Amino acid sequence: MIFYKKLVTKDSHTSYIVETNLTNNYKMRKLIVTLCLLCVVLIGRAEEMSAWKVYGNVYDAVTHETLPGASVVEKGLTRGSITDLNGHFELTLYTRHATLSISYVGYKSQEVNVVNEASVGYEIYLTPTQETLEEVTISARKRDENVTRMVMGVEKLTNDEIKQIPAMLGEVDIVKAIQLLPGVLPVSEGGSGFSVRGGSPDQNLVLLDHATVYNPSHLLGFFSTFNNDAMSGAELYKGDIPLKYGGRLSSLLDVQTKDERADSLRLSGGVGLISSRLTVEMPVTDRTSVLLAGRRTYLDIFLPLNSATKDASLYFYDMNAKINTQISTNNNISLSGYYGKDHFGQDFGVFDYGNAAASLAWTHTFSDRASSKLTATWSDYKYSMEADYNTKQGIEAQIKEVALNADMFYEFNPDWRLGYGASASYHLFKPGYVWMDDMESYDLQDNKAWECAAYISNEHTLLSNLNVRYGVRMSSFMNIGSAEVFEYNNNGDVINTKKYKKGDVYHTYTCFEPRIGAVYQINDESSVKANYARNVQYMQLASKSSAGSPVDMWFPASPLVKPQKCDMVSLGYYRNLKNNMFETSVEVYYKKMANVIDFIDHQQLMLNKYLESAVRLGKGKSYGVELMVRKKQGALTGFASYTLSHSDRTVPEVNGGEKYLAPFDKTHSINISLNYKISSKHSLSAIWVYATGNPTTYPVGRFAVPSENNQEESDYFPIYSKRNEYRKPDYHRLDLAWTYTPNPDSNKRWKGEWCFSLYNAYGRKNPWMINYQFDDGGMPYAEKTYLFTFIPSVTYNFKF
Amino acid sequence: MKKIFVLIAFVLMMTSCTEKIIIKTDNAEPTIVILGCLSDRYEPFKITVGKSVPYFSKDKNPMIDEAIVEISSSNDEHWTLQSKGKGVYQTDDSLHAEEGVTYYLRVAYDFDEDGMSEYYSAKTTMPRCPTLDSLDVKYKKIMGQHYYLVNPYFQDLIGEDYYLYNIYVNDSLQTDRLSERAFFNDEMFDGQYVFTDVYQIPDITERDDYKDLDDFEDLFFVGKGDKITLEFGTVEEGYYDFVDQCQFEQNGEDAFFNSSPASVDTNLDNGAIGYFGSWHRRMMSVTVE
Repeated sequence: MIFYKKLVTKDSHTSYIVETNLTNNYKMRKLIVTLCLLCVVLIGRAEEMSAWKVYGNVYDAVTHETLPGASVVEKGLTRGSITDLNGHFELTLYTRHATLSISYVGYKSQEVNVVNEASVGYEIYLTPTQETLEEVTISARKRDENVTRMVMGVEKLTNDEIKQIPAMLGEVDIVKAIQLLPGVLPVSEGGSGFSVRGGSPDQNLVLLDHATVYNPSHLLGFFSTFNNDAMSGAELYKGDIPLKYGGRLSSLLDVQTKDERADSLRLSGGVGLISSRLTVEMPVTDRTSVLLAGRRTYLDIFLPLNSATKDASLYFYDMNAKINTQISTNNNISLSGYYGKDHFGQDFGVFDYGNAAASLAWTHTFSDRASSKLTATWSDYKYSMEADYNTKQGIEAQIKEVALNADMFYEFNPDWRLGYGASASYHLFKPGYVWMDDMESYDLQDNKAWECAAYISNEHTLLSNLNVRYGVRMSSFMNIGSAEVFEYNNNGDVINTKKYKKGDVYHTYTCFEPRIGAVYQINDESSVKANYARNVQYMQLASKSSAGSPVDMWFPASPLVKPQKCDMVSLGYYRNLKNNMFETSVEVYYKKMANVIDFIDHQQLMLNKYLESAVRLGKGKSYGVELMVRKKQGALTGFASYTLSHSDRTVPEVNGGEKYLAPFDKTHSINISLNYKISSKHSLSAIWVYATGNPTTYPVGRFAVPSENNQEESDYFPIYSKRNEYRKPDYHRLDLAWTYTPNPDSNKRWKGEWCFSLYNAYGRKNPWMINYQFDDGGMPYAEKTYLFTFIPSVTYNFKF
Repeated sequence: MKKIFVLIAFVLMMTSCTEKIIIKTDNAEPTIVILGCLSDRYEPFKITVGKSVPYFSKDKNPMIDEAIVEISSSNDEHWTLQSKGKGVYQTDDSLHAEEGVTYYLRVAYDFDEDGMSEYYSAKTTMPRCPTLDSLDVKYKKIMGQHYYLVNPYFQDLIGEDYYLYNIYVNDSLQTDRLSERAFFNDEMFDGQYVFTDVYQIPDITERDDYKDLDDFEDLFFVGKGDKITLEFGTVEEGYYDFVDQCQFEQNGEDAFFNSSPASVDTNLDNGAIGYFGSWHRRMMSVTVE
């Protein structure tokens, strides 16, 4: 039998009233219709323009991978463009003939003559100056992007940059690499959760090819769901999220599957200590290519070593697939899918969880100045437990999302670019279903909601050295019946239940999210950027976990739970040195948050029918300064960053209503990542991370409860300090890696490399948890649990 | 179901270690601690009064013998409890609390030593309790070890009920500490007929398999011929929460379920901690065959 405490609060002093807001709903619909009409009008206008646009893609001539960040410039002029994450560029020209110069560090530059005769996309293949992985990867970005890029607070990592970072157990991991960036902190040792500028992990929107990944972790968070071999890279937006995205307060992590166009069968993969992986890329037709990737762990082999686990099973696997086809010169379709599963099994039961995500994207070019992208996505996360050690019983919970996005792009002229679009998502929350043989099942109510948004975004070049980007996103969240909505009294007891029929929109929130940014380029090597952004979040995790738990489930905004809001201003100075060899930056930010979520003490959140009675809404703020130095060229490359920050919360009935430090507040954080290429055969890399210890709550007193058998013996129970009044010991760690490529200059198709790594090289015992135990005399003492000291690993990676 | 997480914990154990750590904290001011739980069984009403101490103090918590402790009821009954030493106060006579009757506790003590007594009070109402129909024991292998599963059969009453229970082996109370007491509520099976295991006791023939555990001395085992007694009953929601919170918060944070530990709630006023509750109990025994 599964028994769970009924979770009704005792100390609530807030009286909740259910109210619907159909007025906002009406206004929302009207505005979406207006914006859609605007899209149509603008597309119509695009056809009337006389200047023309050249577009195309830039590829690596050897691997045929797209090259994001390549420079495409009209020869003799300063007019130019940079390829996007998919290697795509567009450039408006005003003469019938032109010569484009395409360059990319580590590749031979090319010039291409273009003529305005037919609407043809150009495919440009750049040859690497040396055909080795490392040469290509070190500077896979535009040389002066740090200074010129229109957005701020954005961090980009390519697949190959991520590979260079030493990885725990040799498992190269996008999320672990992201955690090294300034302003980003892991929430626990080895975990995949991360906090951006003081936010909580559920305030990060994690997308894989535009589809939401609700729990981007495997094995209780120690590995992320992203198989680096199948990914082209990732971009992290630390608050200044592009207007076409929304729904999270702190950041957007945009992970892209490789956009390959293989001309022959290619294999790549690796064999590591705990898992192996294989990626297959192959052409299907001249215009269609396919990518398939998979990996699986083999931790299972260690389980028979212990009698308690000899009947156990334990593994995770995931699969990625992508098919990309260019239907015509103006139309491209890609279909991408992901499926992953974690499995824990024992003789009495199993526990499974996993994500599934799929996206279908159609890119269409209307004219040389207007294009569109239509994306349909599907996301699913669920866990299930089943046990049979007396009566058969089980638990299931799930969240699903289906979304449709339409994004339009139009360029009036080189100084004015317009983006606009709309999206609609249907969310289904299934917080829990418990079944037991021979007894009635226990089913928590499903929640259903529509989340709709429309946005318009402008980019203007006001002066030759001043660019501004501004726009507004309007989003709406509608709770849909059938539903029972509870009202609670001061004690958290249900005093009234309102029932809504299937399909009824029983509550609507509508929010405006203005975002504006400016870049003032002082000279070729330095710029100043400023930004204001408002983000809104309509759903959040019911979590009291510091490490990230697979049974944490999402719950939506509702009549009682208002959407979280964040206003952020940031200012940055960017300076490149020595012909862009060094990038430096200083960013300061201030975030003010409303309706941030926390939970009253002692509440169990899993399978809690009355979860909302445990939720409290408050306010928060974060501020900080982030310093970054990056060396991009030469044998020694890498970066060093320092972050000084503060983040706090004030939530009624939590900590007695007094302000407390946010769980992921870390005053100081230093990250250093270096890669030294000794020769074409050998390279060394190292990372060192340091952070102030996490805020925590320690016991400051204890009371005794005597044993019933012996009054002389007692159980001791803690009296705790105020919430997060103390800090755990500081965190620091050094990881090392050595990559050996036996035959770097070989002309054979098979290319292999050995990667030897050592995680936590000086064996720092960073506390993962601090608990209280009792000595032989029954007196309490503190004990820390630490993970992962001196973890060596070896991985063999290959390409064919 | 939580045993699934034992396997997960094993994964962590493969790479994790523990060691003592010295943490420095400010010490909280001492607080009066009052504990008591009335029962429907005929026995003296008993209350203990003591003081809190700094968490890492090597001294036992001091007890208070000079308080005045009184209990009254909604039936206009009144009892003054006598100090028996070591912080224990009890009635001279055996009494029993009655279902539906509210009992009021009042403790007077000059805790701040200003010459004036401070007063602390709380109340509890004896809850209803369903009848136990029968009890049996099943033998089952779980994660490589064999256990005797204790299964009561009873008709749950409609409405919220909070169950708390003890296990006796051969008439000796095994769950004598608050941290060992077991509990559940009927949220998931309200008003249904309940027949399931509420306790798993390891097989005594496998006792040696547990010798390396830190808490081996606290474990208990059963074998064929042993008499198992289930002391099973209901408490008020507040007392149920107190027991639950004491166990939930005793060992500090939990990386997966409790990142923000907090002090347990109390139903005593005026800054006291502890709890005054009541427990409506049934007892039933079965012999392991």
